[in-house]
Amino acid sequence: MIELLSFPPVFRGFVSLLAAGLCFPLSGIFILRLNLLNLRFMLMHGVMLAGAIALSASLDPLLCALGINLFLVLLITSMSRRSDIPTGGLTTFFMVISVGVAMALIYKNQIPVQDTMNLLWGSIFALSQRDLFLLLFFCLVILLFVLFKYRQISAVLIDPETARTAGVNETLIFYLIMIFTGITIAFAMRLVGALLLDALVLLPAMTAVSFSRSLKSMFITASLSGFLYSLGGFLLALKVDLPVSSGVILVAGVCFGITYIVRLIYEKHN
Amino acid sequence: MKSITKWTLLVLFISFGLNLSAQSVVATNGWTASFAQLAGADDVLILAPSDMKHPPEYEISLKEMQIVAQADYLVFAGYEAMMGRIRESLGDESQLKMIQITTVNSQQMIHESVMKIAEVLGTQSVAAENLKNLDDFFDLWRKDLSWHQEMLSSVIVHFHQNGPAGSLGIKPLMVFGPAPPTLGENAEVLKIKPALIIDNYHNPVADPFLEMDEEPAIVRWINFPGTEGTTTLMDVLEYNRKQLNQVLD
Repeated sequence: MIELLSFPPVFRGFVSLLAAGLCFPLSGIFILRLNLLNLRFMLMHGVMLAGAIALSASLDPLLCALGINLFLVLLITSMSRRSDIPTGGLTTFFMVISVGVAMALIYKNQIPVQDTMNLLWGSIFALSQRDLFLLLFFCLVILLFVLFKYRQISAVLIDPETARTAGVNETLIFYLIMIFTGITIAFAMRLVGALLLDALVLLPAMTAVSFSRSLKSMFITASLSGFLYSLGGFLLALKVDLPVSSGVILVAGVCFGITYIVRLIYEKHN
Repeated sequence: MKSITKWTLLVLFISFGLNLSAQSVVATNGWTASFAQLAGADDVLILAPSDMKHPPEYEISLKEMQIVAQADYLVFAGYEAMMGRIRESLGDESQLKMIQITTVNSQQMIHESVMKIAEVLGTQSVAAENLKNLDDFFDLWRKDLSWHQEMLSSVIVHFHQNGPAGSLGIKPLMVFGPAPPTLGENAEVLKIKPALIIDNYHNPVADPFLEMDEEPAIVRWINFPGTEGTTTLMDVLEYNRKQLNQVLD
């Protein structure tokens, strides 16, 4: 185990998974509380587009994904705030556009579909040293954001209108929340792929929402759950020789299932 | 009346002769085409472009569909994305004879697949001659490798290159891929500490293994012709041989 963890690709994968498990569920809370599930879909398609651009122009796929997702969240936030068009409609529109452009690029530049499909699976042991540092830096930033801006964040998550009238810079906080969500999705896809990113981002947040009475305990429970799911998933993958992403989703799925049943029983008795 | 019969017979004879000499063979990609060429097929039309890194993904165009429909033979392996569409679009009246082969570059599988095509085309004697040359090539290659037994006793091989490696007498300590390595595979490789890794050029997954303290030698063998001007199966094998020689010398 120690020798395996000291192997650089495994070590980078392990550290990045634990850091992501601890911090990505914070974005999961944003997604659930602000009902950004549609946005999450669009951002996943944004990463697909970024992959197609990166493969066409021989650019770095992670930096491309971060750039495209930042551009999309800023564009959508700005458009939805300046017009009456519902965010759901905008995200659907950009989701379709992203896939359309990605497909055109794949076809025109004869990009191997296999390479593009790799984005759907992620590759935890393919992270470079630079990717790991970028991820840790982002985790630190989102953690500090939630710690130091907790009051403003909770005001925006509970009721944006009231937050604005109470003097909170709701626009800035909302933009930051959207930016962090976009970056989280880009990193999560790189780590565990599109098909399993909810295990890192949403399931811990859903567990927290089931059990927490306050927003503070929601953030803490989500982070701890995410960390434990990641660690448990990694150990399970090691024990039964599975892809790590599958290990994480199995542990997360089982734990969420148990918490859901416990909650049902609790509600029945009260 | 007699002259009409003569002329009719002559026309039939000529058209039958033309039919025999113009048997068109289409192959789904460079790899299946290389098997067909070894079997004695001339002027094989290849559908997937040779510069594709992963030809099985190639999507056939409508124009190519028409060419396939009018061909006499189609040589395919079964893993090609285009096969579903071809099967759907061929009507019951289609005269196309489909020859499914197994594309593995092991000596035994090349023999089996090439003879399977040759039996349908009626080119067994040409195929036998070509396979004799192939056997000579493998014999020579094995002889060369007998000088490097120490390194070749510590090899791990990509799943899609296990066939040719086996034909050379290489007994891999581990077969990895085609999916990216799992934790278990990483642990296994760390335990084995291979001297040589034979990866697959068309979907390489062994890069993480190169970060071991004792960095192993690595070669990325090809299966499909197309890389660096390779067009035939012999070119492919020669290319792989050169790649291996570079790390063995």
